[in-house]
Amino acid sequence: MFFDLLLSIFAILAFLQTGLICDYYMFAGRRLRFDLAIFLALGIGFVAVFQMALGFFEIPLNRFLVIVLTFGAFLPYVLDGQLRKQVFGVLFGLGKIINRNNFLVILIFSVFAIVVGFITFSHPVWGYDAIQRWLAKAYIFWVDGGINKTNILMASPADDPNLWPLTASWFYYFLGKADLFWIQVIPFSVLLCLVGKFWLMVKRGKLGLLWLFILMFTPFLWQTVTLMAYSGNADLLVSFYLLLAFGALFSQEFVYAAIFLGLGALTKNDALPALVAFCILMPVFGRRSKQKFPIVAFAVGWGFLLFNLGFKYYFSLGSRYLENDWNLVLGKRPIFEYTKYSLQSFREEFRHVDHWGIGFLVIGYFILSRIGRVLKNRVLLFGLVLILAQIAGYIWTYYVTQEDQASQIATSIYRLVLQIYPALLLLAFFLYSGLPKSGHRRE
Amino acid sequence: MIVVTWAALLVLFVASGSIIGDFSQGVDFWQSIDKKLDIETKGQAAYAIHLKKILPENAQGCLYFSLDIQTWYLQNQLYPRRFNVIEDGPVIQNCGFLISQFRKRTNPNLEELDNFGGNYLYRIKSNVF
Repeated sequence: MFFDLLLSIFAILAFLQTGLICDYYMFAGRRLRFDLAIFLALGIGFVAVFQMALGFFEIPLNRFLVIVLTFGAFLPYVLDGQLRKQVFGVLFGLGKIINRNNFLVILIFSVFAIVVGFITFSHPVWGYDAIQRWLAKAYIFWVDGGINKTNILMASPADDPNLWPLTASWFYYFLGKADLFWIQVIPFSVLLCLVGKFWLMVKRGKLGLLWLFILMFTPFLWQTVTLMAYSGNADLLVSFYLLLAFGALFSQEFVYAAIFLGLGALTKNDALPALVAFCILMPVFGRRSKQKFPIVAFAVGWGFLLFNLGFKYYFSLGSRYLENDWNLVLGKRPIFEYTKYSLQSFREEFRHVDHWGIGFLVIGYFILSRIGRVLKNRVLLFGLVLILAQIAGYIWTYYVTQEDQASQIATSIYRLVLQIYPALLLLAFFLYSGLPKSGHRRE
Repeated sequence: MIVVTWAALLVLFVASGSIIGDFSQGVDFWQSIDKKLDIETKGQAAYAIHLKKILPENAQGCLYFSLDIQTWYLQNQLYPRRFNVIEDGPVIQNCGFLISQFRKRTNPNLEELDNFGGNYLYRIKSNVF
């Protein structure tokens, strides 16, 4: 057990290190900007995209190769003195974080982590979606050494994206076994990074601590990790990517926004509308900027979208929502009634206090009461439009679904709402306290 | 300011109720991991390991649907062995091996090969391999 714990921690460190290397060499211009949430998100994303790329050529992986590649990610510490100096400088300075100003937050965060960890690690993952879909794929990929044209179709529905299963299978290589208990280390780490990142973005604003409380104690957010029925699902990862994308968007770091929206769409198809809206609307919202048009972000967004669709096309994954009997759908389903029912369902979910506290009432209050500020600020408006694209996507899915609309809404709406909740709360926070004046600040 | 303060207080109140409710799950924290897996899978984790030892990797067959997640779990764990999940019924001719979780079958066409903790592995007598 102790050895498995060590390997699990090492696997998380390996994801962080991979993300650090990606960020340092590819995006940050060899200037270390220490941000664990971004490192974890990029690390998971890079590993998944790498495995998907191997899938095109059917190059199999095994445990030895994975460990060699992981040690390769640590090699720059030997070869690059500049990186080594910067990283060790940050690590040796970590002790300074604990001071009188941060003590209360660190204490609350530590208690939160211990309680969530205590409940989470009292059980293995045990939920229908996790066992029958996400981790079923992870197991198959792990046994076969990666994706191929046959095994990708085995766990239904085949058109589910593969970022989370590939992350889990990479983790299985470290452990040397497919383990439903230790795999929870990943969603647990994602939750801590999500909450920590939110704190970094709100701490300098008005009542930052209270905004942190609203997010971190939202019952369904941490229950997605603590409840065995949800701890193996992909929705928290989508929330994480959308939060990071919106944080980058509000800091006008459009390249990061494009990357995280792209990785979100590789996690679940549910996140595709935001990526598509970003790609289409970027010329509109980017052109008004005083800065140069963010052509790189535009290209990265389209790159992720084309990679996503190209992967589906190459592996003949189809789409359960596009391959439909459209005459039947359009002829038998009154679109107005179906949309009205979906909207009412969202309204009811938003006021579900046991899931969200009054988080959505706060969000609604600030959006409606400060709509003028949204309309005047192109970045805030862009964020709101992306969220509306997400909600429109959910409603469209509920309209065309081959399942009964009411039963699908009853079993999925809270998971969809979770995906946009942290990003929406961040939008509400910036409406309340104003956007940061300078560019992205990472601490 | 009032809205934010009230929202934070309310979410703390709701969360504390939820945490106290979920904390009862924590009694299993001190159990061994194998025991935790055994509890949730109702013994199917150990059964999957057992089957992987006795069935060849190219084995094919059917798996009776029993408890929802336990069935899908076992089907997945047996990969690359291919076991189709089937409902109770008389049509079992196309199955090679047949697995029945938690329940002994009395069909005279079935030859019992293995019994592991109340989970049964059969071969269909009329099939030739």
